[in-house]
Amino acid sequence: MQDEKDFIQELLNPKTQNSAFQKLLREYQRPLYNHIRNIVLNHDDADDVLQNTFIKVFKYLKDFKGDSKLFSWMYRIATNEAITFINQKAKRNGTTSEALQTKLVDNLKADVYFDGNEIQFKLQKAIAALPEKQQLVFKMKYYEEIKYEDMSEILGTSVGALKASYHHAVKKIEEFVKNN
Amino acid sequence: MNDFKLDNEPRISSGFTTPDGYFDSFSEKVLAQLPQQEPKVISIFSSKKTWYYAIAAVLVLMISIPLYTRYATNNEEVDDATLENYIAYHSTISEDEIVDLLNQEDLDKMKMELHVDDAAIEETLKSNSNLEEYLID
Repeated sequence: MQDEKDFIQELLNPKTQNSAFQKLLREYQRPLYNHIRNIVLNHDDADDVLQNTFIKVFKYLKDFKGDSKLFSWMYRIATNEAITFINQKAKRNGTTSEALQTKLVDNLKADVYFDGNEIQFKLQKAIAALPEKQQLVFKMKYYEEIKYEDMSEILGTSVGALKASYHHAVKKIEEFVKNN
Repeated sequence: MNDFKLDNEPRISSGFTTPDGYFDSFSEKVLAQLPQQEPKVISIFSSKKTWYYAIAAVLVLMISIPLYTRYATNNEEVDDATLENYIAYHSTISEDEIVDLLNQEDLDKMKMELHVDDAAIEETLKSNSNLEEYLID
């Protein structure tokens, strides 16, 4: 992508805004979709959250200070939107977000937009049994292959802590798979 | 499964898929929802309003300055007794000098102002027991 500052200016200028935003959508819709889908698990929910994410990006772009990369800023919005969505959904269903995660994973077997085999399904179940932060770190590292440095900027956690979280997550997942 | 190690396995993908053409239509779906940027309208009314405020402020000043001056002057006015005392004790002009300054007309005027009717004079003289002494003198 061109110089980020110029691109942000294009996004803010009413004359170039439309084409610049289309470019932003083309560039980020797939990675952000995957990120959100990994958290909310269901396609329809991911679609809703992704739309809200881009609308928020558009709305708050004028307040974007450029302290972090546009990429990390957008990921941060997407993460917050997805986690808030899960928590609200759990509240609506009168359950905890951990219990909801387990239920959502169980639903994957019947989901037409999940074509995972046995090991893929088992991995999803193992992840759902992790604490929230470890889930997030594992998904971002393992599925999305986001670098620790970028993850650190997105989640506001030190690289060392992220590595430790990932290490714990891997151990627990291997244990889970072994016992199930 | 006893030796399951994530690092030894080929990378396991999430298994998630999307409906056909989902990303092709996604952009349009989002763009349609974006709040349209309204062209900035500079309201004539609001700029007029500013002028009204400015004019009102000037008018208030125009009215208030003479009023202030008037009341300020009033406050500085001193009563007659104070003025008289001031002149009596601070003035360097002697009484003779004041008399020199008075012309005949002024004197006549003073006379007229001091005019007392005869009855009053007679009454005063009657009640004054030392009158005879004065006459003798």
